[in-house]
Amino acid sequence: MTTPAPVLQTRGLRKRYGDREVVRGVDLHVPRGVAFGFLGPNGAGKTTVIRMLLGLTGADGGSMELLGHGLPDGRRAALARVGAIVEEPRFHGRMTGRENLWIHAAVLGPDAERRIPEALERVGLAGREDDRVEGYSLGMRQRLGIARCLLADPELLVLDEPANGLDPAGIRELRALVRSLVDEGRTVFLSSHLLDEVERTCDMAAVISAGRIVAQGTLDELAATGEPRVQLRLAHAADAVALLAARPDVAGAESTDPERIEVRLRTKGTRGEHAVTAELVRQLVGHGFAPYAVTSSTGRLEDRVLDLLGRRGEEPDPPGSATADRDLVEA
Amino acid sequence: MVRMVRAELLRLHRSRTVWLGAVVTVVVLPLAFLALIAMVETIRTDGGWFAEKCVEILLGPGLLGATLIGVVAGTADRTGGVLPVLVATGRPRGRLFAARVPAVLIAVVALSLAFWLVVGALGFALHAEAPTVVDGVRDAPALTGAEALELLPRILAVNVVLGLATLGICTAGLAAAPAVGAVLGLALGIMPMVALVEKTPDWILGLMPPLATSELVGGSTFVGPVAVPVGWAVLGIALWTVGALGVGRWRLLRADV
Repeated sequence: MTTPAPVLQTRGLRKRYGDREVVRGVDLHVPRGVAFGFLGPNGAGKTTVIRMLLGLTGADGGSMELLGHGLPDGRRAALARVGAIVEEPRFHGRMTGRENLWIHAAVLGPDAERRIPEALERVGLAGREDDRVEGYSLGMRQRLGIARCLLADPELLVLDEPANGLDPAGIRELRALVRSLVDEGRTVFLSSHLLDEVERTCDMAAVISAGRIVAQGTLDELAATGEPRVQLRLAHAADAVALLAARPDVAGAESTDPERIEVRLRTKGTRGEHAVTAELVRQLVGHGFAPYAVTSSTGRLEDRVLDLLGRRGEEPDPPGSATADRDLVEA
Repeated sequence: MVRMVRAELLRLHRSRTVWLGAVVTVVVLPLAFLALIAMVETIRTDGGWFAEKCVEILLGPGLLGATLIGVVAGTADRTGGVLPVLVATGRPRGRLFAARVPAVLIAVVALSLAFWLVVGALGFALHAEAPTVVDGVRDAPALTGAEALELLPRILAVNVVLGLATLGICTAGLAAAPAVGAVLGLALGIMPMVALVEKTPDWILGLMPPLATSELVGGSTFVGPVAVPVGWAVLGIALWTVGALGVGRWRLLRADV
């Protein structure tokens, strides 16, 4: 059985601005028909990679392939079936939504012009298409940007931070739209610094940090490849660290605050982790400690990504908090 | 390509800057002209010299509209942030640029015709009212029908060169500063025409389009005839214009957008 050709592939992709190498040998492999998250903090190199793929800036090294066409030679053929939002959807503000789409369609060809009503309908802008874009909300501009992408009847959509500035309802709509596009067999390459967005929308992801891909695969694969961890909450945490660190099934333990211990386990597999976790609790209780909360972080994409980005010590936002989108913006 | 040119024309049509230039050129300046005439009738003490200048003053800033069309065509995609999306369609950048050229031509010709009609009508009407000639100098900034017809190709030539040169210069600047592009376009667009006159005009006439005004002002000592054969002059101006466009195209082909 042959593996279907990837929709997007890069090997050793490099880009330098002056003395600073911002993309350092990126290898990406995006299969057809998935929502693929491109995850990383701001400044990691996501947009630069996208700009190279779309021909907006040249690469200094490596190779790129889009829809089976090598770049830059096959750029015209490849990009004819690609829709893209780069950085943020920008339009001519004094023109209506329909006119903006028409201008884009004029560049793509007559088929694209015929798709304008359908694209507007698809993103929920039918009825507002004759309003000037300067009066659109950010969410409406994002949707108009996706409508513009759809004019090419794209096999691949490249969406750079599409959730930026959207309210929760807008993010939910965007997620549904992306999933419906994937259900039609299209591939969506979604760049984001928001873990939640990628986790809830995508099937696969690559994590980029400081211009390098540090992991890629399905979300389950990404989450499972991390070192299993257990977080314990108890009084006098610092006193309990040495006790746990001495165990042979513990790779390391540290007290990250007066009532919290982070334990890295040597074991693999859920059953083994549960058994070791039970032993840890039993031992702590036997020595007079009283753990009041135990959390296994195995299988959590967030922890894995924070590991990969070297930011493990940060306290995650509690579920439902205002910042629960788990922003990866560099401090 | 026709669709792309239509798209460029729509973009120009929707531009506030282009409309501002058009309104100033076709409406405000002729009105100012009339106001100046009224003033001249009141304060004239020198046998009509100031009235003569009115025609030149009117024709000079008439370049504004053509320049602004070139500025908008050369910068709107970039300042609006739309250029990256257009490039990402895979269309060759050269074709994106090429579509701007006929669009600018059409817009500039339309504007110039409107301007000429208004100025011609005004001049013609004033001619009927003009007093007799004193010492070889007209006593009012009037045009005969023949003069008005003679004026048309000059207005067209000057405005087309300016519009296209500004397009090239502004595209080459990739909209880092449209205002700078406008000033450069205006100055550099006029340069070859200024260079082709025999005498160096004073600083005011240096801003005027000599090809358009030299004949109009007749006995004026400020602007002389073209110093080279017309064919060479046309070739020089054409090469200069193509050069400005070439710089813009070259920059768009190679720049990060």
